[in-house]
Amino acid sequence: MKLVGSEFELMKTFVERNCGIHLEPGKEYLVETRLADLAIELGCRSFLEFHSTALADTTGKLKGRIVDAMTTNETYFFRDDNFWTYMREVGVPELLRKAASGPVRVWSAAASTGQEAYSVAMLVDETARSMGKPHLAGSVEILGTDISSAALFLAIAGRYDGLAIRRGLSDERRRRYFREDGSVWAISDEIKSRVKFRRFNLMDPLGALGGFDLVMCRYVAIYFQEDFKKDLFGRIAQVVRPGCALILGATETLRGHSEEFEPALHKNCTAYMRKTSR
Amino acid sequence: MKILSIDDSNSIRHAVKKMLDVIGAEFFEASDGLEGLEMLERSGKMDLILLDMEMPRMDGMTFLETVKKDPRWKDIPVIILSSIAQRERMIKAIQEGAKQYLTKPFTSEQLLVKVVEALNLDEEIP
Repeated sequence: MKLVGSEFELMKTFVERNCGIHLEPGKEYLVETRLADLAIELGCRSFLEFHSTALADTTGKLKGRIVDAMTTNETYFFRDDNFWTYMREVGVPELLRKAASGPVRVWSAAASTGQEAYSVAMLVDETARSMGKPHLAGSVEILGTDISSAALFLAIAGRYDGLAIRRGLSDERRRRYFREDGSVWAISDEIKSRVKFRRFNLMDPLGALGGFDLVMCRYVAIYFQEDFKKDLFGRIAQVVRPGCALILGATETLRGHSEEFEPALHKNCTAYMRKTSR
Repeated sequence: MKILSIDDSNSIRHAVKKMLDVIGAEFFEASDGLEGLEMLERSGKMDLILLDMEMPRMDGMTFLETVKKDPRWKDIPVIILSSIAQRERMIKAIQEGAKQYLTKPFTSEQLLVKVVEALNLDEEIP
């Protein structure tokens, strides 16, 4: 299916208004390659028809599928060594220090099929054990959200095939935290019980999610237009507790988008710390 | 949950089976449209069919047209798995009643998300 004439402008406006995703001129191929499958599935002969169908959708489900198609990302366990070095040496020990005096909360803002959220749960467990305080891991509540209910269905199942399990996961972690079920690896009940998933659109108010001691919003905002980035990070600032960290993807920055955080560099990972005075 | 994969490539059917194991699906396979029809006759109603387009003996489009005309099978959702070069045929397949399509090559996550959506397994997600 080819994108012709004014169709790009129509789709661009729709995607920006409804999904917060910015499309510059020259990005026509992104619409064509990523949305054509969806348009065809819906029986549309052209992007003009697809646009009308998208406008008429009142359930929000199609909007979710459009965001999903436009932002599809690779997801695997312990993605990005620098980030996980930060988590192992700073992020998780700090969470466990706080957990000694009460429950703490972590948010994986684009959880997809669950690998990031479960990676945090595994690292929390390992770190708590190495501190000789395994019980503390139970006080770290991890919330994973995503706009795609189908991805979340798979995240909640916590079952991965041989290829997914090999990407990013050491043999030791696989043995310790997964049980083999034929050709599938299922996350252990203990780790699973520490992670909750729910469907959530980042364009909606974040207040309902509550406050967090650490937020991961990695490789999400790169797709968003500048105004929406500012708006999103402003709203995230309201749910990150003072002194706590927001982590973006390795290629992303908060510079120019929020004054509410202070960058803190640990080796090659930048954590954005929520300022304590408002 | 019974899923029938119709594809003339052994390696694709094998890979799809491994992917579908993640959601605990009962897997059935056929190497062309004719064998697919035989499998439907033999194994009763399927919950979902994954269908390749280019196959010997009976291609995907003929299989799809046959299934959609048969009252026993017309409501079974069909996902087309095919190459990008066949996009025009995909459009026709959707018009003929296929529910979704996925371009090869695909990852297990891409396939599973489509399967979950086609089977409405995600209806209860909070």
